[in-house]
Amino acid sequence: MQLLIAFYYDGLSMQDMARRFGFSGTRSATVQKHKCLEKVRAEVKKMESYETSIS
Amino acid sequence: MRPALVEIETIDKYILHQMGAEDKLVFEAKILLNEELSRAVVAQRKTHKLLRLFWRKQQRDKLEIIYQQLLQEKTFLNGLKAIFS
Repeated sequence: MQLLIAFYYDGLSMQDMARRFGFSGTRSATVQKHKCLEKVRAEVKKMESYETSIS
Repeated sequence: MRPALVEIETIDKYILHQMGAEDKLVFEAKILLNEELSRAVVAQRKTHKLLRLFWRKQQRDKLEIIYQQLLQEKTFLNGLKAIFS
């Protein structure tokens, strides 16, 4: 979540993200950011299907 | 980058209004034709809402720490008391 906050709300560039989070370069930082978003989105989808199943 | 991550990037551009007008129209047509993509867009919008709530809570927690530190400052506390006395 911290990585996503750093990108979307702290306005960090991919270069700054790579430095702060210890990625090898901007490409790695970009991929990791997308992976984080993917994981959170998957949890949101899980919650939605749980809510649908209990309603 | 694997296709799922490319999709995440594309949906992000759409949600954050970073797509050109033509690309946006094409993407909206894809959303209408593809239920899975439509659900992915809805989920990603909710994800951004959650992220915003998380960030706002973090900011409020930081402000609370600053507020508590200020209340420890005698000059500030005296000034505050003077205003309300």
